[in-house]
Amino acid sequence: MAELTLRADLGALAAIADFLAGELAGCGDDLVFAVQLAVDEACSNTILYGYPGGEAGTITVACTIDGDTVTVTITDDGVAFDPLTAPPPRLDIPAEERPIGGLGVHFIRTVMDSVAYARTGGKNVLTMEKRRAGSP
Amino acid sequence: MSGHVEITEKRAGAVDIITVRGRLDAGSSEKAEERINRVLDAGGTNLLINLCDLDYISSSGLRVLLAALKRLKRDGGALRIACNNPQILEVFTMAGFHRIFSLSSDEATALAEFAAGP
Repeated sequence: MAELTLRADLGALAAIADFLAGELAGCGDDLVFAVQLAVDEACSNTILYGYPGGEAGTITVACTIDGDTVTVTITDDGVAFDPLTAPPPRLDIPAEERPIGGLGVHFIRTVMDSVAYARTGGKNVLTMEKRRAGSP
Repeated sequence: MSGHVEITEKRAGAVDIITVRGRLDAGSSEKAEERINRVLDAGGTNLLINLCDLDYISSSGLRVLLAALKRLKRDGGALRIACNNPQILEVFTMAGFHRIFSLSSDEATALAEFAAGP
């Protein structure tokens, strides 16, 4: 398992994307892009809203490839927040009239095969899985 | 490193062209928004945003594009986007944005559509 721990600020997002690109090299560009998108959206939420008191904490991104399944676990010490409780966006109304919030979580649910949230030891733990193309 | 966003501006006739290269994420979208607003504040009403060399976009990037579209529609202007990156276009589709943005595969085609009218 490879792991990256960074201070939770917006500058971390590009470093996390680079880390995933390195770990998932060989899994195909579409899979890399999908995992980067899901992780970026989740980490963006944490960085922007997870530390309302001021001082940023840390985010740890861990990535494993087991057979046909890529698993990414994001752990942060921000305020308790389960992104999966966010209501899905109303895609049936014109986008101009939609609130843009919720789109990030919609992307996570769309591109990943499974997403699970837990609050463990005072930390948010988001675990996401994606099967590699061609696997059932 | 993929952390950089590069934003350039040029003008073709009555059309302002903003090209965004690199990564448009939560860390860089504010910079893009400032550049777009600067062009619109200067009176630009025909805006072409070229994303052909964009490597990555998140919902934060889409938020900036939607804000520009809303502002231009309110002011009687037009926004067209040039993009041929299938992964970026997939993000537009997931958001339902392919239905509200005028998307062209390259800058020349988008420019020609400005000339052709709405």
